[in-house]
Amino acid sequence: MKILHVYRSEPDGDTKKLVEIVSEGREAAEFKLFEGQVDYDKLVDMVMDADKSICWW
Amino acid sequence: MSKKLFFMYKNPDYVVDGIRSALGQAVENNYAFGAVLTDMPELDEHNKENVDWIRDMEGEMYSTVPSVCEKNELTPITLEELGKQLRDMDLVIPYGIK
Repeated sequence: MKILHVYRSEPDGDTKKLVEIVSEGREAAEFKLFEGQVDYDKLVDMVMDADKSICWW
Repeated sequence: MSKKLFFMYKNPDYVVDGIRSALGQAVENNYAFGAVLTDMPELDEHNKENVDWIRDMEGEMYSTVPSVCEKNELTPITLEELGKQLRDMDLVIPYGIK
């Protein structure tokens, strides 16, 4: 399973821990919405490529 | 087909609204779960009834904060247990703004 983690803000310790557990044994990618110029075309491609996406706070 | 959904609440301002959203999903015949990850005020009777209603429909409402579990009659859960539950969900919804 491919899982995509999208971060709306810098992940804190709790979020990092949850991401680690959810991603264990799976192919995981991440996308940061809070850094620099956001490439939404790339985000769409990554969402389409993933089996599951989670948009964190 | 029913889906398993997990809401997570990190901002106290969005907990009540988020519980209502979980209840709405339960009413729509999905399995709705939630977890409060922040301190928050005591729920009023109406919202405690909403939590009971979620449980009646095979969902659950948890918290990682012991004092929140006590005053709002939520089920205790650790961060590790929560992460394992999230792996089994069809949809994971970090609710509201942090």
